[in-house]
Amino acid sequence: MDHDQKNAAKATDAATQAAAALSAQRQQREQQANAAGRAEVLVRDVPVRIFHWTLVVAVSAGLLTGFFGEENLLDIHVLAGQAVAVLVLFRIAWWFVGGRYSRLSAYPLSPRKALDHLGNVIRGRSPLTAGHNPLGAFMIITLIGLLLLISITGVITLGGEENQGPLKAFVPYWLGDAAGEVHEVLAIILLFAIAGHLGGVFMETVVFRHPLLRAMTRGTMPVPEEQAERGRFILRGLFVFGVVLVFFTGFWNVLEATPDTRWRPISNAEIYKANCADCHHAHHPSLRTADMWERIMQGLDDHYGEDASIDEKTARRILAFLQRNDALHFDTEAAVRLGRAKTPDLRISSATWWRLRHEQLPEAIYRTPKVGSKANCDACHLDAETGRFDDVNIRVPEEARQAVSGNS
Amino acid sequence: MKKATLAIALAGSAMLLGGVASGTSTAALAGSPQEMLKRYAEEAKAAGIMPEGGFSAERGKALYLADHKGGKPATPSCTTCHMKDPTQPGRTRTGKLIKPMALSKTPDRYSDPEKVEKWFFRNCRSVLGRECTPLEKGDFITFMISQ
Repeated sequence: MDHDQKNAAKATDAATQAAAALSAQRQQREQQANAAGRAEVLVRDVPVRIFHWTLVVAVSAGLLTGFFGEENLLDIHVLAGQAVAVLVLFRIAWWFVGGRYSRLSAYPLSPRKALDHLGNVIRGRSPLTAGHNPLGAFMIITLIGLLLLISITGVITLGGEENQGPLKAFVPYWLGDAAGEVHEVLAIILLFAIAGHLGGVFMETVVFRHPLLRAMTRGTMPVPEEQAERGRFILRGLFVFGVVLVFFTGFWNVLEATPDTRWRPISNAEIYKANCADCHHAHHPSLRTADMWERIMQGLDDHYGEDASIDEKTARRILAFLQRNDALHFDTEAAVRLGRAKTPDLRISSATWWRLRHEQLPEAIYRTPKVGSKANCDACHLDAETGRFDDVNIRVPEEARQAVSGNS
Repeated sequence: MKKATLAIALAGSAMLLGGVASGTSTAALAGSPQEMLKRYAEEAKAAGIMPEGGFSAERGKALYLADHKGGKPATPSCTTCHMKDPTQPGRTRTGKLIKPMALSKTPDRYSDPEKVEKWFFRNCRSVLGRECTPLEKGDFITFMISQ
């Protein structure tokens, strides 16, 4: 009996102790929450958080390759751009079907509210909101809008200038070139917008102590329980992203497969190559106009300091080949900028555009064994023979670079 | 109409035969350096410039290495583009490699009359400012065969 009572007492003691420990923990947690003002509740759905950080990576890659990358990093730049486009399209869809605070309808988009908020900020106040504050909402719209425009101008540039991507068959060179200029200006504006975005987040987190970073990582903010997001929206996010991805890939691939009349492979080049490519790289016919080719073929007995005579019949056939594929038969950057350029001595390398695009290369590089001369386009342009001169196919031979840097 | 079909049929069979022939004996059809030499010897004799001893590798070598006047200023010598040692690959003024001129290194040289004539015509006018004589061509090929 004694023994039993003792045991029971022991058990009660243990239970009380455990209960005490638990309540102490709970108290501690509540105190922490109170210290931050309110309880932490979920305000950012999962898709929007994943969207944000993948967008950070994609935009960084796009900006770095765009502003600092060599031309042949264009593939990576385009990949980054595709990612940005898909993410932005997803985000726009998510404005309408996402979680409560991800929706456009939840954005306090009124200029009045924005001005009021600005006034508050100036007076050193910024009320904590579960969604965006009015200035932040405008910031997001600006960023998404800029990224959308940058994606669109990018794909127009890719089609027009590089004869690549979904619009390659539809955009003339001049339009691609113009879009490229806009693309660049928009990218610079984007840098300012990103600075504004980061400045806003800095103010909110450091000055007003609103944990925005935690909201964009763990998803929570210290707001009243009833302001919580209604769920994490993982499945819906996956579904919407999948739909956007399928549509984007379809759009890209189907359009990219349309026959392109602006550039095409050349046939029947054998006679041209057999007679001209013994001495020099077989310059693509689109690099000169029909009348320039005629003058070149007429002057073969003194062809840049050498006699390059060809019998009359062969010469006539070569000229016909060159004229059928001349600069006016192609709408590539090389045909427009080099082929149609008026030059004093018929040399392609005398075109202003040629000089501008080769400005960074030292003259000595053309005398290195790997390059040989300015006429040796295919020393660096892997696709020179096709007349495309794509950015991604530029490879200045490492030996040539080293030979030049060693000399100077 | 009938004539046309016949002509096509004839042309077709000729091409077929030609294809078979070229497949079996390419060398015979394409000619050889000896045949080129024979041709230039005949031309030289006809022109009355063939010396007693025939073609000479020595004279060919001198022609090949000499600096000539009268041609285009950019190309005073064969060795502007080809190497002094003809077993080495040369380089055009635009930087393209030229296979060695020595027959031992490039065995398919001096066999295609059309090609040989084309290059003698162009390059002699570039370097010498005139066409080469059959004697010079023969000496030149004799030199290259000996290398």
